[in-house]
Amino acid sequence: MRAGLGVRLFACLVALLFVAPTLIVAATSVTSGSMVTFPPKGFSPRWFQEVLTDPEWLTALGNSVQVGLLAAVLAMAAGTSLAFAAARSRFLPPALVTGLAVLPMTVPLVVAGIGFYLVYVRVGLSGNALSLGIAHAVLGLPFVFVNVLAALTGVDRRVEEAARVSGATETVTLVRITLPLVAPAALVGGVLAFVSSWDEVVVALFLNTPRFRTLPVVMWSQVRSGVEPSISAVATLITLVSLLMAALVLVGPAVVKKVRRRT
Amino acid sequence: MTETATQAGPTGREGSPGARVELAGIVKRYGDVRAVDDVSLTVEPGQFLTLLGASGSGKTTLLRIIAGFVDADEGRVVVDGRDISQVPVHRREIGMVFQNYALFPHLSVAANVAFPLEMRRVRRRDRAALVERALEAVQLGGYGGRSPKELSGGQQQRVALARAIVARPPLLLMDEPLGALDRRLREAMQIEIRGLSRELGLTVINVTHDQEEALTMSDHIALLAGGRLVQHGTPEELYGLPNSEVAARFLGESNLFRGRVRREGSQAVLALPYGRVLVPGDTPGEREAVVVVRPSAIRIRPAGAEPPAAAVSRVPGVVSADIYAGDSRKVLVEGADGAELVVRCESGAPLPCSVGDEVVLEWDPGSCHIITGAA
Amino acid sequence: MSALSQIPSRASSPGTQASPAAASDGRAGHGGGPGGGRARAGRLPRPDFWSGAGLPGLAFVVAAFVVPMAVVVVKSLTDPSPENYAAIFTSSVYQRSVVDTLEMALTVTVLCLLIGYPYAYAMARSGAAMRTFLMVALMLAFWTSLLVRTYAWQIVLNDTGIVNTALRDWLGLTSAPIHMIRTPFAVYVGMVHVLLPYAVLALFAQLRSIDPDVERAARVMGARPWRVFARVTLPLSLPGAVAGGVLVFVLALGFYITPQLLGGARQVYVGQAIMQQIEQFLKPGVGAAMAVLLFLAVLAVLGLAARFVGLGRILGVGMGRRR
Repeated sequence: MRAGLGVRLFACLVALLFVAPTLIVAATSVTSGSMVTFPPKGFSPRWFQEVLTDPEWLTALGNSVQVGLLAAVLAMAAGTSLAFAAARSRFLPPALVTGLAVLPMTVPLVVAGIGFYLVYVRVGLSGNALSLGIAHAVLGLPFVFVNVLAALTGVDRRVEEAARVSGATETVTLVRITLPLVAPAALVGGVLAFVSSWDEVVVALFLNTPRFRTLPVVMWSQVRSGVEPSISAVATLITLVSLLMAALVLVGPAVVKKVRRRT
Repeated sequence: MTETATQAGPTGREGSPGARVELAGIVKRYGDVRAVDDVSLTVEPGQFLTLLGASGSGKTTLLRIIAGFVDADEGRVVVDGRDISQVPVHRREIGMVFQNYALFPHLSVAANVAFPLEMRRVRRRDRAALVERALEAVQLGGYGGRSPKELSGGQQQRVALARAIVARPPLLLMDEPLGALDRRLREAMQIEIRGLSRELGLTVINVTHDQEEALTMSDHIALLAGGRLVQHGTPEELYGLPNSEVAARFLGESNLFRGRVRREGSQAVLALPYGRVLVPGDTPGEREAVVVVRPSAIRIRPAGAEPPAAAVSRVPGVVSADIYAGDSRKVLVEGADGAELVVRCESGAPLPCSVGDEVVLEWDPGSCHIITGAA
Repeated sequence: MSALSQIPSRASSPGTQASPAAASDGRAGHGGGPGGGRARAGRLPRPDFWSGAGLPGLAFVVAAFVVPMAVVVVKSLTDPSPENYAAIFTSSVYQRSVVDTLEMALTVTVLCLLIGYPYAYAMARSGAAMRTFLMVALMLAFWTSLLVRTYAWQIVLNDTGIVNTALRDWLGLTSAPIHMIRTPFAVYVGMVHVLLPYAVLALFAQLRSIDPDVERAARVMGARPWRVFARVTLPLSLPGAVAGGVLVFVLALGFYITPQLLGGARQVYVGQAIMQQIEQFLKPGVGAAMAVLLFLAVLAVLGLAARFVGLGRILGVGMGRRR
């Protein structure tokens, strides 16, 4: 049954409201004026130039990339490992493993932030990419876990058995057969973990120090004192990276498959 | 494939690369269920043994115990005199073919076949030749660069076979290797696998539920039911001389007559309320027995026809169905006690009756087989 | 994004379904397990390889997450004492915060469902072009940073923002700016904008799963379109509404960024209150106690809802994105 005209018009209106704020931010970032105005006054890349030459923003950008990559790698390792245990272990109850792996998804960021703050500061892990990377890895881990778990259920156990019979130890089978087969799923989870780290503010606020701040943290501190075209430029950059990554994950596999089929 | 490296039996053992496999008292329980129940049997070097049985008979579990994927609760698996029950899978030196091929989907055909060589630390430069030879043996020479996904089911199973034999393991295990293939391909592969295993002199243990496959390919068949070994012997023995009702029913069509056997003059007879079944051989005294008559041994005659001079078994009945099956036809006859009897005749010869006719089934005493002591 | 639906069930090995015997083989493939009494007396089960493979992950989650959460609990009880909880329950300031938060979260949830339902319905019951347009718009919003979107609303709702500029300079309707920023209104706008995609995705997934023949059958039997909707479509889509609503509600409970930027000083929601305790009042014990209560509330709501629609469905909606 097709949706009625009224419903569709309403949906289109909401769709415009969905994208309008993002577009407005992007528009205000290319203004040639020195104030956030809409529509922007003229067109100029000056605020992007300013941001990309400002050492504070550049340092923050570098920190964000470091933290995101670390979070992605750690989440991929830990999430994959947990998925193995949940899907294959005979000893660890799968409910326990799954619960532990998914729990970080349910925790409010404020709560997680306090926990990380209390522990990491005490053990001397603060003000660097490692501490925030670990914290973000915890938050990104469920994405990897769920993706790899789904991929693992699609891996035929007999393929692993064939490797064992061929003379491979369990470890060699894991490395040579199972891991390559779930690697694409783990990678997707890793990209998602990167994105969730890339624009995360709350936990980053807990673990930041004046010397170590990520892009969203710097943006946050500036936003609180008002809107600026340079902030719009940073916001646009953050959004572009997030969207690119999301597109990579959501659309990428389908494109790869289509290209492969054609060749 | 002309040179036969090995025959079953002691004469062929000399120089056979195949392993001697001995199963001793294997038991596997799952909860209260005995999936494998005290199975002992020996496979001679170079022998092609089929574990035959319905699903749930324990044949797959038994194979997986031999492979090492499942630990037996009791008993030993001995290969060439060595108890390998505690040896981990990867050091058992066996080849295995799985029903669903189980190729490594992310590796090329050549890399799939090379895998066992790599695991056995065969030098890299020696691998290529061995891989190509194995692929040629399964008629896939030149396919090494392909991905398994590009191959048909039959080709994939050939790759799996090449991977299983490339390292020349003394023992090849096959778990319903042809189950996923269509009938024609299956028959072609049966012959191919049999030829290849003979040529290489491998000991093969094959699992199937397909009696035709078992009869075609095997030197020996071990028939399993409910986890127990029912009968172990050559295909001829299992088909011609089933030792139990289970065996008689599982292998081929059969008509079973149960009753007391006693002597009538010089002839042993199993008396039925409605007819007489003559039993071959000497039978001292009276006893319970089951007589097995294969459908192809039975002749159909119209009810009024003269009995032949020679002593034959005669059982009356009514034709209930006449099924044409190409090279033969299957006639179902309802016996006087309501039991359904099966007769196979050549489809060329005219049938002396049609559905609904009263007929008499006759067969020579020598063409039936008696199972004594049957419960 | 539906991969999470697999979570509750233990992953089974697909290769071992051929026969009962084969299935039980799969169960015992590794480890061996403790056999019956007569079996190889005293033989220990082999160390389970896959448990070992899971060990690094488990160690990581425990060390990096479970321990911090436990420390929060300990902190809430010991800094300075369990009195922290008493303080929360007796102080009218905190009670006010809780009431405000519940009111805000409920309002946002209801708004998200009311706006999200027609959107999801249009997505599920339109041609490919329309569906693609709506999906792309949704995804653009979904994947844009929460901070960026909140910042965008700041630009739009400011006293000198786009709305006020439009009203005054272009349309000449107002002389003084309408004060929208730092009000609950701005918070609701921002929160609904941020959380609406979750509601839409949950509803869309549910609506897509309804067999169109069911609706057609109702039509054929003579039901008018609105009756088909009220009697067939709406009831069948309720699980999606529950899943989406619960997710939105739970996320809204702990929000910090959006209320902090768009809200006023009069409403202090729980997320902000926790931050205040730690940053301004330097009472981490009280903040920890509030955090514990917040987490428990979230888990309780999720646990309750999971009985009706399954946890996988709720959390699966947000797969790939968290706020």
